[in-house]
Amino acid sequence: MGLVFVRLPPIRAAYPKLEQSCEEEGCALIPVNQIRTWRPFVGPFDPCPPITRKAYLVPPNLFIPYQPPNWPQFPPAEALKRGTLWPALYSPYESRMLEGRTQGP
Amino acid sequence: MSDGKKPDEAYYQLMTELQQLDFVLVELTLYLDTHPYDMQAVQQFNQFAQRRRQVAQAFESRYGPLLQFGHSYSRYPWDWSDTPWPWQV
Repeated sequence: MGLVFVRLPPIRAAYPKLEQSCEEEGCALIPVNQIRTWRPFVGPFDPCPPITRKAYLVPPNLFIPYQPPNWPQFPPAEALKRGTLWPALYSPYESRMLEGRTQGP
Repeated sequence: MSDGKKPDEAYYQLMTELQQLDFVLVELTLYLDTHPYDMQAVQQFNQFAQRRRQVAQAFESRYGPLLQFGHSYSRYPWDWSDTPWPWQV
């Protein structure tokens, strides 16, 4: 299973940092909304409080069958930091594993 | 094993630069695998390869060899075993 399930983030607020950096650097290609959500089945006998919505990440490469030439690039330092040379392929990952927890796993 | 040069600020600067250049080269390699006729990308790749070579040379002349078995030069005396080792920096 390649899907990573994370707790539901507020969609627009998920990547505030990303949008900011986009304004600063004037790069129009960074996708903002890569998170989709779905409503899992909730059984009547579930002993735990149900999670009514789950989220998954949809990276941009899924929608790019063949990369066009001459795309704008990140400078080398930023490419290394972001894990891709091309802004259009950038997909942020922020772990939400521990979100909303006060202690322990 | 003798004490090599202690890693200073320039050490990390050169290492970071190498890492960045290497990453760009990896990305361009993958890209060129599917776009072999992209002249501009090939040029960029060669440019970065050249720069990488220069930076690696600058690094090796100051801090010792990065590679072994003839891919890097050694100073006298033999300095392959000098610290710092990769996990010490």
